[in-house]
Amino acid sequence: MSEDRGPSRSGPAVSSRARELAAAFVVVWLVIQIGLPTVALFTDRPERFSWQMFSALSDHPSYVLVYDDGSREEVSHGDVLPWVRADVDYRTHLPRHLCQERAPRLQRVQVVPRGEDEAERTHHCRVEAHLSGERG
Amino acid sequence: MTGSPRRTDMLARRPLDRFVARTSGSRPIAAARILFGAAVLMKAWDIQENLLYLTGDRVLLIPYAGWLPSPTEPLAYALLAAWVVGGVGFTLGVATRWSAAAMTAAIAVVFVLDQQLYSNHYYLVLVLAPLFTLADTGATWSVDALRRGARETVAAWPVDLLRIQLSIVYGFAALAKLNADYLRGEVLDVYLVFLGPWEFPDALQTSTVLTGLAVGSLLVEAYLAVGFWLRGNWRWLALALGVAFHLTIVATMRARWGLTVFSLEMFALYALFFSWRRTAR
Repeated sequence: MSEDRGPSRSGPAVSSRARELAAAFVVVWLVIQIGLPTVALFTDRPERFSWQMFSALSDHPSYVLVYDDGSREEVSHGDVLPWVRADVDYRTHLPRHLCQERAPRLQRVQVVPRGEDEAERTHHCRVEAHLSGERG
Repeated sequence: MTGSPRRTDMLARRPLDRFVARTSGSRPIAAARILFGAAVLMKAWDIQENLLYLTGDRVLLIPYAGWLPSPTEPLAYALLAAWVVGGVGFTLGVATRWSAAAMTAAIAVVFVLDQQLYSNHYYLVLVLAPLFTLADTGATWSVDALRRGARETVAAWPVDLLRIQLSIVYGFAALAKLNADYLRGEVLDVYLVFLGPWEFPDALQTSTVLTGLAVGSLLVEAYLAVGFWLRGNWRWLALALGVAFHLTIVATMRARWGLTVFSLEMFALYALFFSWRRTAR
């Protein structure tokens, strides 16, 4: 069984300053490690940093790619990424990436949510490219 | 009745002062070091493929912050080298604290390079590595102890934080599973593997069985969150249940390599609840 000993003369000599630092570390550590997963219990699952592994199924959106010639292509994360995580939000980054990868033919990317709570969103590739060109 | 602010402050701090002043035996944390070191090295093997993929051209990158560097091949190899060299040194107990610090730094930098590298067992590596660095893990059963002599006691507070982390992981894992999808067995239906001799048999793919497994796994995790803190046979029951639970999920679920790393990490934490001394007969 485990053994716990009180303050011991044979134990490591520790200054009071080091003990204060250790105490502060313990408090900060526990606040973060208990606080983050507690807050995450009240958000959509699965959430990261919260030990929610295998706890829920996620509703990843699908993406409709609309090309200059009017053709349309529907893709899912699995079609364009080598691995997909349920707890990563791809909705902002993936449309931008698809615009860059399929430039200049791709006109826009429609993000089609699986759930009913969320509205469909559209990323216009040329606007994105123009803005990033201005920033650059 | 109210005391002076200074006296009240001192009273409030006393339990915390006692918490950081205590010492504990050096063997449990040494055993945990060896198991966690094995998990860290397995994770290095697991992460290298995805990390190197992210160094390629025209790949999707999702950094945690815009100012962080993008993964490049030289950076990836340098970080993997620090991870492995530090991990081997830590596991064997060679310059243990420096090895642990190098390993922890590499683990942390790789972690923040891209959100797609996230996994819960990797996050657990990231959380545990700093605590193992702060703990005096090389006090015994290490090359350092062979060269400089073993010590019987170490500071207890990092060891206690590691023990508490076990309860946090299992406790919140159980709480997160209190939802309709999980309790109906729908999540397990997706993640259980239904092929091969060691995997979940076809005949048991019914909603009743899946619901039973879901409720059972939730109860096991809830017990593991508290069982290791109990004395006597209750603690041994937690050990037996925990080992059986992890062997079962490794054998029957997808993401087998990651689940093996996760199991080794938790076994390292189990080691902290036992004295690792021979009992006198």
